[in-house]
Amino acid sequence: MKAGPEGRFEALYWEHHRELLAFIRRRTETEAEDVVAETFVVAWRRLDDVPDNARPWLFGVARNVLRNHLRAQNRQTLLKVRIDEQPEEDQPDLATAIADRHDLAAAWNRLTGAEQEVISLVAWDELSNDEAATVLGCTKSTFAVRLFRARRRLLHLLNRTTHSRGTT
Amino acid sequence: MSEKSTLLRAVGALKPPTPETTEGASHALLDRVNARIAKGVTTAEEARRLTPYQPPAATRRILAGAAAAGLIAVGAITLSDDNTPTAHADWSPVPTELRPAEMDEITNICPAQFFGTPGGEDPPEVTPVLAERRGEFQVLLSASEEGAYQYCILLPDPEFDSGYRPHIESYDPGPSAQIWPSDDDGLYTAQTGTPWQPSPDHGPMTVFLGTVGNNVEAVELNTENGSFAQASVMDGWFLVWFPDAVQLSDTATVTTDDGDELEVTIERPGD
Repeated sequence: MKAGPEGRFEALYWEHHRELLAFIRRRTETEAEDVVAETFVVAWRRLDDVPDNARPWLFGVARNVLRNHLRAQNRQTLLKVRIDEQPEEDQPDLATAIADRHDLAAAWNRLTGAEQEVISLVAWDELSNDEAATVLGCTKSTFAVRLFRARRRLLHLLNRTTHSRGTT
Repeated sequence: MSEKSTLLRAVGALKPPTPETTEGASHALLDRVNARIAKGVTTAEEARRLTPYQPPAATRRILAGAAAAGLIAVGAITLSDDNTPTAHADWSPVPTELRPAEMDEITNICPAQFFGTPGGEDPPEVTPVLAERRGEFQVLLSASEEGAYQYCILLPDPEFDSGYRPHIESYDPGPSAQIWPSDDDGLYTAQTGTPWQPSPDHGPMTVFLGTVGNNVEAVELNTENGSFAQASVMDGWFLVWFPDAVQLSDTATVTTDDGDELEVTIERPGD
C-alpha cells in the first residue's frame, strides 16, 4: 500500500469504486465508467476536503458529474424500475408483501425524478438522512422533509393504483 | 423498532440489479483515472464546482421562555370554568391525507427543528413521521429515534400571513424513557392527553400520540365518553385528537399486518 495522499486515494478507490459504479448504473445506462473516473479525479484534486466518511461525499460528486454529463446531452437520470421484472410469487418478507410489487413498481415509476432520487438514496443506497443530505447538498432537515413528502406521495400513488385495480 | 419503514424496505426490494465489476475492470478503471489525473483535464475550478455543496449550519430559532417540555402557541387559551366552547363540528373520526400543496404548506410553516431545548443543549433531531387533517385542523408529527417528539397543529387564523397560527408542543422524554410498546401488537401512549382550547372560537381538544408495535398497521381508539376515532399511523408512531376534554379507554383496537383485529391494553408512561 502506498503512503501519503496516493495511499489514501487508492484506498478510497478500492473501497468505493464498485458501489459508485452501481450507483451510477442505476441512473444511466451508459457512461458509468466515465462518470466514476471523473469522480475520482475530483476526489484526487480535492483530497483534503474528502471527509472520513467519504461515501456520501463521493456519491455527491458522482451525482454532480452525472448531472453535468446528462445536461450536456439534454437527458435525464433514470431511476425507473422494470415492471416486467417484478416477480409474481408471494414474498415471505413483510416488506416485499406490503403490496403487489407490480403496483409498487407502477406507483414508483409515477414519482418525479426528484422524488425517486430522495427515496432511493435511503432505500437503495442505504444512506442515513445525514449522508443523503450530503449527497444532495442540503441540510438534514431539508432532506427529511423532502423524504417525508416523497414517501407520502408514493403511498398516495400506491393507494390509487391498488384501488383502481380493485375497481376495474 | 427497525430504522427503515416497511414502505422503504419494500422499495428497497425494487432495487434494480447492476452487473458485478470484475477485478480486471477495476484495474482498468483505475488506470483510466490515473491517466486523466496525469493529463490534468479537470481544472481546480471544475473540481470545486463538482464537490457537494455544504449548506451553512442552520440558525437555531430563539424562543424566549421555551422549556425542555415546551408548549409554544400564539394566543392559546387555557381552559377555564367560564369559557363557552363551541364543538368542532367538522371534526372527523377518520383522518384524511394532506394534499401535496397542504404538505408543502405544513412543512414550511411548522419548524423543522425541535423547539424548546434549554440554551446550550443540542436539540434532539426530529424528522416528520406523519401528517393528517381532521376538519379544519392539520397536524404534523415529528419524532427522533430516541423518542423525542413534537407536533404542530395549524389553526386557521386570518391574522397570520400564512393564514395559519401554528400550535407546537414538543417533549423529550430523556435517555432512559420507554419509547416503544413492549409487544409487537401493542400500543404505547407517550402523550396521554391534556385538553386545551385553541381559541375562543373553538372548543377544547385532546391530543393523544405514541408508538405502535412492529405488527401494527392501524389503530382505533375509544374514549371514556363513548367517542372513537382512527389514529394516523406511520413509521411506528400514531396520533389522534378528539374534540372536547376526553380520556382514553384502557384498550384500543389494532389491525395487524396480517389483517387481524385485536383488542390490546394501552401501555402508558409509568406502567
